Amino acid sequence: MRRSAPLMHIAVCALGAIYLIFASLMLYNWIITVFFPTAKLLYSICGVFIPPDPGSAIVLATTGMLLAGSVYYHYDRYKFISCVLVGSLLGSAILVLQLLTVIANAIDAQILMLYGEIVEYGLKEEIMRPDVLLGIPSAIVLYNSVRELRKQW
Amino acid sequence: MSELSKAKHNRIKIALAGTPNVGKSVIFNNLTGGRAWVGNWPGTTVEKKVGKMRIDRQDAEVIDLPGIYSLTAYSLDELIARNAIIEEKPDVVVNILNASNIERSLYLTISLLEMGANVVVALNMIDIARERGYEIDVRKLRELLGVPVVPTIAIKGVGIDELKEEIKKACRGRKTPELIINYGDEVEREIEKIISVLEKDPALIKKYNKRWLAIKLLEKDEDVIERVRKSQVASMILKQVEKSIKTLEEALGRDIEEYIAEKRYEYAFRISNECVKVVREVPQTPSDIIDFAITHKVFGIPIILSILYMAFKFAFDVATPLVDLIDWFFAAFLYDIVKSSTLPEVVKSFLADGVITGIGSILVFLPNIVFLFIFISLLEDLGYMARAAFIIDKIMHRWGLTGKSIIPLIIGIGCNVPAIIATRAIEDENDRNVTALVNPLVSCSARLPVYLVIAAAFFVAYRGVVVLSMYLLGMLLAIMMALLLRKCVFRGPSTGFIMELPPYMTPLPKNVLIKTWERTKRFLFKAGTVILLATVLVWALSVTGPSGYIGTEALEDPTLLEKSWVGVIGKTMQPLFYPMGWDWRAIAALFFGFMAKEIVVSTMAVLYGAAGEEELPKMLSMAFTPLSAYAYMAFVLIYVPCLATLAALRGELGLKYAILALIYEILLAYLVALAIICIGIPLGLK
Ligand SMILES: Nc1nc2c(ncn2[C@@H]2O[C@H](COP(=O)(O)OP(=O)(O)OP(=O)(O)O)[C@@H](O)[C@H]2O)c(=O)[nH]1
Ligand SMILES: [Mg+2]
Repeated sequence: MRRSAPLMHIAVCALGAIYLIFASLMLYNWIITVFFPTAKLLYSICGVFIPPDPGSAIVLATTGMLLAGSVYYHYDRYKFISCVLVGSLLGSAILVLQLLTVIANAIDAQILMLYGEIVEYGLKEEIMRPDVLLGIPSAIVLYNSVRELRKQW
Repeated sequence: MSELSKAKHNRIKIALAGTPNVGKSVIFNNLTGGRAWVGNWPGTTVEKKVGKMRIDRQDAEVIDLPGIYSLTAYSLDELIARNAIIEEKPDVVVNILNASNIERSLYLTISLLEMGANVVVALNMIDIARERGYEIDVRKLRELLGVPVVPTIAIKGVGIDELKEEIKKACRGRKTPELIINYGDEVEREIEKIISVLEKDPALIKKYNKRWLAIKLLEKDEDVIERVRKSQVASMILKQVEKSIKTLEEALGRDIEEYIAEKRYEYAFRISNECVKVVREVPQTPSDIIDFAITHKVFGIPIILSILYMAFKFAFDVATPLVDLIDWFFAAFLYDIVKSSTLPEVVKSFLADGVITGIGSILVFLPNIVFLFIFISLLEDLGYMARAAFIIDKIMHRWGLTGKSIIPLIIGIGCNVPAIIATRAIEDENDRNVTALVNPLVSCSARLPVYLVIAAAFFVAYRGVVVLSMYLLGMLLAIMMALLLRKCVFRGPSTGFIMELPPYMTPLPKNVLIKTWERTKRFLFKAGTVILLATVLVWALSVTGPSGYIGTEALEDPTLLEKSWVGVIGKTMQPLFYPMGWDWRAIAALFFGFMAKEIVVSTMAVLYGAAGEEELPKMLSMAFTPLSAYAYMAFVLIYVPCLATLAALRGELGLKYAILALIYEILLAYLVALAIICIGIPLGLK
């Protein structure tokens, strides 16, 4: 257990850093769409779409800050776990919400057919998003830290 | 008449008393099958709520009260609780203790016992006490207090039957022995002296316990002094009290009030020491651990923003299918049925272009609002709202504002009316006035339809953020106005505030659903009354004008509509809003939105002749630019409290302040909308 601790620190910190990077990319895209509509967007990186969504960017940035910042408290188990727990909770929550949104959109497409409207929606773009993809390792971290915490009680 | 008052008089009264957030309202609901509001933060209940319980084939009245720490009242809600106990003299007082913090709860118990109340103790939240590693010796506690003690876990219904049994026994006349704390020889002597004077007024000591009265007088309790003043021998009593206080303070060398309180604390400490055993060392509870990150000075605010954003994502994106379903029902189904019917043209227009279009334009947002309410209720019960209050308090405190304002401000996100009533929990009058006055700036759910319609027209991709920005703007303005009012109108020192963080709890589905329903009910009621009336009014004013009836074609022909009454209103007000560049129909909508803010949307729906959630945004995207639309949203957020809010302000603070709120908000709204335009244009926004 003790030996694996630094590894855990590094992994969590790296995940946090990736979150922060994607958060800034999303923010960048949003600023471009609002203030410089003629400039070019960073549409996707390695198949990951970067939606110009400042709201998700806030959540991703907070998650990233908590995960990466947790290393600052590496000397105190409780403080470290606290940051990791809350960070991964946020990361997992936004994953769940995005999945719910995808399901809702799918149902919505059926309803809109009542009007005779055919809507196209890009399932791929809805799923290949940083909040979804990063949410998976986040959920794993969450699972682990809850288990860690459980051991105490 | 006399019959009725007699029946009332004979009814058994049971009051629930306890410190804030111990679960009084949950126990109330358990006992009466009622639906008192339950929330995981102190200050949920600010009014007394009465319910019924059967005892021996007789109806007993059960009263849920706001939380109190002692029988000395500082704020309005505490006064309500105190009076219900001292004045109304319930037959039984069920005192609910927090098992995880007995010492703090016992002060009230001691005060109740000294008063001679007939007490039954419910030792609630033993699950939490266990989690923290405490075990409580109930038999010992019973012995030391001399009253029945029933351990309970209210949310699971554990111990409620036993509690009912004990209440019944107490009602049948089992009396609690009076608790006599020895305050030391000197004090006891003076108490005796005061009692002997009190005995000269038999009516007085018949009403109140004499020893308690004497101690309260020594404590300089103003309320009790007021009561004694009404006695015929008041001057004698007060003279003796003054003499005693002087003697004692000289002898003890300190404030007598403090001294008595300290003695009670000592007593409470002794009892808790004897009854509470730490069976397991728990270094830090899960709640404590999670709270480190949640209330962190850097992470705290981003976490609040993230959670708010997620609330909106949940409310808007996930609810979409339901919105479209309702939209289809009103805009396509009902509308077409009416339009293709054989009714006369005027009636058809009235029903379809007036009622269905207007009400439908609001009701389509019902799913969004319900989903938001669900999320808010979850956060409340989880205990997160108390944390959010704690974090914002840290900032407000630095600015000299009391953190107690925060909870009403957060409640305002649901509706400003209960939020204004919740300000009763604030002790300081200046603080209370300021908090109530700035509360309408907090964006309530009635503004949501306006934001959503405009967001659908201009900010589809990130409506969550646009709405979030409105909520933040509202909060920020509320805090700034509070500062301003505190500096200019309500000057004076601010009271400190220590927020007790309740433990996190798994929200109970039933409770969340009840709260969501109660909040939704208010929205539906509004839709069926005020909004419906306003819609009818707007329709009527659209098809008539100074020249008389102009026909239902006006709703399809803007040039004709300009000649209607609505046109006159909109056109007259338009020059005022020249810098913002808003369409006169949008301005007329503001005029009617004074009644309730949803009416802004229903009016626009009627005036733009747009049925449905799809069409109205389409029309609006032609009438506004993104920038002017954003300014419009901000204006709607701020411009006037709705009628219900004004009434609440009048009720709580008086007419003068309600008018003050009205005026400052109109001015502020205008300034903010203007500022948005003036800042946006140079930035290249349109
Ligand atoms: N774990 C646990 N939680 C409880 C228990 N009883 C009540 N609660 C929770 O405690 C919180 C406060 O309950 P309320 O009934 O609103 O408390 P109150 O005493 O009426 O509070 P105020 O009206 O603010 O004075 C709620 O979140 C309840 O779900 C219990 O026995 N165990
Ligand atoms: Mg309550």
